[in-house]
Amino acid sequence: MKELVKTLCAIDAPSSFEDAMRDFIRPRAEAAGCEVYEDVLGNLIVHKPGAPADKRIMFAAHMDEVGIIIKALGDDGYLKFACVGGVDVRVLIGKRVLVGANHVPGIIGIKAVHLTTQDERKIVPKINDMYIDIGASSREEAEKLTCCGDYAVFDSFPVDFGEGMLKARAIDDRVGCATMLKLIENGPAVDSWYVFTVQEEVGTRGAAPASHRIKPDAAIILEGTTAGDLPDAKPHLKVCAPGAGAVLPFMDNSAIYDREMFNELRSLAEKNGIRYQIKQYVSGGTDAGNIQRARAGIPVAAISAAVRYIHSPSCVASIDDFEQIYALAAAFLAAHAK
Amino acid sequence: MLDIFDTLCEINACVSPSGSEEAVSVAIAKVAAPFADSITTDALGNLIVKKNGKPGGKKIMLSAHMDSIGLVVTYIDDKGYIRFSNLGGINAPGLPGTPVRFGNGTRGVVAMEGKVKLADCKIQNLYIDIGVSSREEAEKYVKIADVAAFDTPAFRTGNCIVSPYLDNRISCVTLLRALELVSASTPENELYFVFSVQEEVGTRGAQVAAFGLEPDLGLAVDVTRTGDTPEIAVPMACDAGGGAAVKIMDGSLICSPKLVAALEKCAETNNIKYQREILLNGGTDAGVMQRSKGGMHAGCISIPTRYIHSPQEMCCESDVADSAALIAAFVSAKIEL
Amino acid sequence: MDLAKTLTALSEAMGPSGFEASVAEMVAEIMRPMCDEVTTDALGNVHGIRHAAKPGAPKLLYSAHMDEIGFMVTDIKDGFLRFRTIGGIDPRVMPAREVTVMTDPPIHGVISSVPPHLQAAGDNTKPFAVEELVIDIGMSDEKARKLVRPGTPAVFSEHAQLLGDKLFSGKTLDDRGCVVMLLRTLELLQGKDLPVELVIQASTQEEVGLRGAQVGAYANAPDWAVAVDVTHAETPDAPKRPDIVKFAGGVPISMGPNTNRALGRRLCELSEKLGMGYQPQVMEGGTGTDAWAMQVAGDGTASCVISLPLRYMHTAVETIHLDDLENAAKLLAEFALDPGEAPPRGPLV
Repeated sequence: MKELVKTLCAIDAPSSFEDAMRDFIRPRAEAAGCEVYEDVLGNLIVHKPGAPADKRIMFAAHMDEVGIIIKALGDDGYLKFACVGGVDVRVLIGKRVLVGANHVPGIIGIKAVHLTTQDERKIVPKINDMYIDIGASSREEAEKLTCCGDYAVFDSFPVDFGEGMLKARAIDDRVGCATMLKLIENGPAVDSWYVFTVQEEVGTRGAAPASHRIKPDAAIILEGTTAGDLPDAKPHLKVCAPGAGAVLPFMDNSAIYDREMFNELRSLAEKNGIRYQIKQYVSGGTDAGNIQRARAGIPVAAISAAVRYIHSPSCVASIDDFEQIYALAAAFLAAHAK
Repeated sequence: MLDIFDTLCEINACVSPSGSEEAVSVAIAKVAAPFADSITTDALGNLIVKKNGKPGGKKIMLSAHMDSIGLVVTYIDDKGYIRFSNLGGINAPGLPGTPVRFGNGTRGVVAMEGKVKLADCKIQNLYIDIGVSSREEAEKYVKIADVAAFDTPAFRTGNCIVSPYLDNRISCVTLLRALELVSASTPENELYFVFSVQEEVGTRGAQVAAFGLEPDLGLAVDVTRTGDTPEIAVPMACDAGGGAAVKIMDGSLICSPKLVAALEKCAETNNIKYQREILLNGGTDAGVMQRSKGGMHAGCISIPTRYIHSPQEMCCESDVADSAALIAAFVSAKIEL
Repeated sequence: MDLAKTLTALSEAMGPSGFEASVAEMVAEIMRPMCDEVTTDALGNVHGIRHAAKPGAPKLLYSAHMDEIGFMVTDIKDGFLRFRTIGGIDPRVMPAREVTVMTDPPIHGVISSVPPHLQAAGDNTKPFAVEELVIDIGMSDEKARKLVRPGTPAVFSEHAQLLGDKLFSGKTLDDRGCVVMLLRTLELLQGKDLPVELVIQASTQEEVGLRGAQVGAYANAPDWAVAVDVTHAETPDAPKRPDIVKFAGGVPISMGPNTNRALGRRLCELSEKLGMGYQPQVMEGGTGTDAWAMQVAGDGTASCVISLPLRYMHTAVETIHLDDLENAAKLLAEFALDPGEAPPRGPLV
């Protein structure tokens, strides 16, 4: 799992630019003997044939990550940009980015602190005032390297970190994609569906059409979720912690998870000695909301990874948690073989 | 005829906030059974009570949500104090001192952290005290993810009923009474009385029920604010005791003008007291019904209710009777839009 | 089609969100001679359909919304009408604004203001709150109550007019300017065989949440869905932002998550080919147009936004450039004739 998550975390895929993820997943799923289909939004739908299941089970994880989109090329060669998905602009200042598929190096600059006024130091710059410097000195020069509507990603590559941790960008939700890919390649040989969704970060957009098409009877969302286990956080606001096992949420802002499925996952974890933690706060949202409310309703549950600093260039998560998540998802699938 | 107050108390005895509607669903099904042609539930737990109609009529979905707002346990500390999150819209400063009850009968009271000022109080500053002294002891009664409901009394006073969760159990009673009324003869239309789930967290149940049923017309029943209390911040022309409130618009939909006209004509023909309702914000199941699949005519009958989402809501019994009468008369007869 | 005449008729018609019926009838009337079929659905969306020359052709849907922002009477007090807004209206454009209350027959009204003589110093530096304003219809309480019920809608009252030779100004050019653009597209396609099944959608309730387009797209399940809506054109006081476009500077074409890349690219290519050029509009998330709802309706659709530059949005003096309207209509007609390869239609799982 570790190597797979690391590989996936190095792939560029801001929302609506998920091409490279599809290109990576498709051949591997096909090689595993699956039917693979890309819908008009770019959701990659994988059907794994196998022993009949007692119901149509769908796993979902989103391929996209938060990132940057280039809005305009200035006459001076600087790029104006906007964030794709929810990014705190404070984490952007003074960061390196990679622009476009050719990975043109860029810098989100800010004028030196010496040049700021007292008042300026107290406020966060507005995104409209920020820019990316790619070393171009004119629009013409910039046009050779990028174009309007191009994307950029944080220049942050996956590395092993501390004790059994991983630092990378986009662990949300490459951990979910890795889990699905491993289920496809090595998981229980049970008939099942996998949707690698697009545009989760701009409003869980891909999940609705995908589940409308697949018509599952039950869905499990594999996600990265916010860990709040910082030293000064009050115990009841820590949410979950990397290293404490797969996170089982009972609700978030997008869905109240099906209580039967939640209980089933909990007992499967206990029966199989899989480490898990219950998410101890209600926050965030996932594709679950739109999946649950597709068609005439679909029971949903989620298995999540606790990720610190989610939506920033430097996320931190526990490698052992990835294994627990995979084990639990596989146990669920195996339990539903007819 | 079903007694409004008794039926309310019967279904309100359940702890069934959004996502945990099993108990109230069973209670409602029991009341509906004598009048129903079939009773089913769907994947999200919506309770669907069908009443057959004459051939050639319209297929109508009536929807009253049976979930309530409530509390869900997120954390239990070393001393056995219980932290919680809200299910649906809850005004945190209104909670300290409120008695609550869990599904297994465990009772407690909501209290606030000592350092916080009431006006600044957020849900995360509140806890439930169930009178134990350790986490281990608390966990004998309550687990993370368990849900609780307000444990405040219901009573009649003046012309009104006071109770927790009039939103929206009083509308469930209204629909049950309408079901009883239409059962006197075969209605012209095929009727689906849907007691929907998860309305308080975003009209989620009605959305999937409408998709599954694919009706020609949707009518929600829900509570609405009133404009008849002292020094009201946002004026509103809708009074408790003013009759069934025919919704014109709220934050979730602009009702089909044709349906509004037909409802008002029905009220006038049958001498049923009614008033118009325009709500500034808020929404009901009617919004998602209107936009299900290729769209449908949708509207809403509201029960004017004071102090909505507080532990003691108040409504006028006559408005409930008028609303039930209007709904029954409307869905029993032929409908041309 | 006399653009100015059609614009005037539709601009001056009354149809706030949820109450578009009379505008819908006007639009359907203009569509009928140019379409094979015109239908209206439960939410009031009008669909003008041009069948493809051959069966089995992919389906192309163009959507422009015909609803406008407006007001709704909520109560009557001393003969004055209290109101709420339908859709987003800047309270700063309300004082002393003339409106039409949509009773039968309509009633002329004026939104209140406070004369300078009665103001305290500094009052005129802050805008009125909506709750402070009422609609004055010049009637006694008794008469007002007899004629106007709560729930009655009202709209801006303003005549449409040419401004110079090429600019056109009036209320509701957002988005009836684009409805006219689609009517013009239909006209340009008269007598031509289409390689696509073409649906022209005049949608409802866009201003309150893209509601009409959502169900219209679900019911039609098009292969391509293009929303045609207005976008901010430069004014002296507008911020210098890359998404603020120029009048007659090329057709604004969307880019970003709401835009299917193949579709967007095709539209850009065609606008270059037609010599009108385009202005890229990068939108990093929601576009706030019908395309946002249509993209994810049903099994999903390839979507894009074509914009009509407009000044003074959501006032009664919205202003457009007639060349922008004509150029975009030409582009939309060209795409309908030459859309390139349709996006893959999935197997029904």
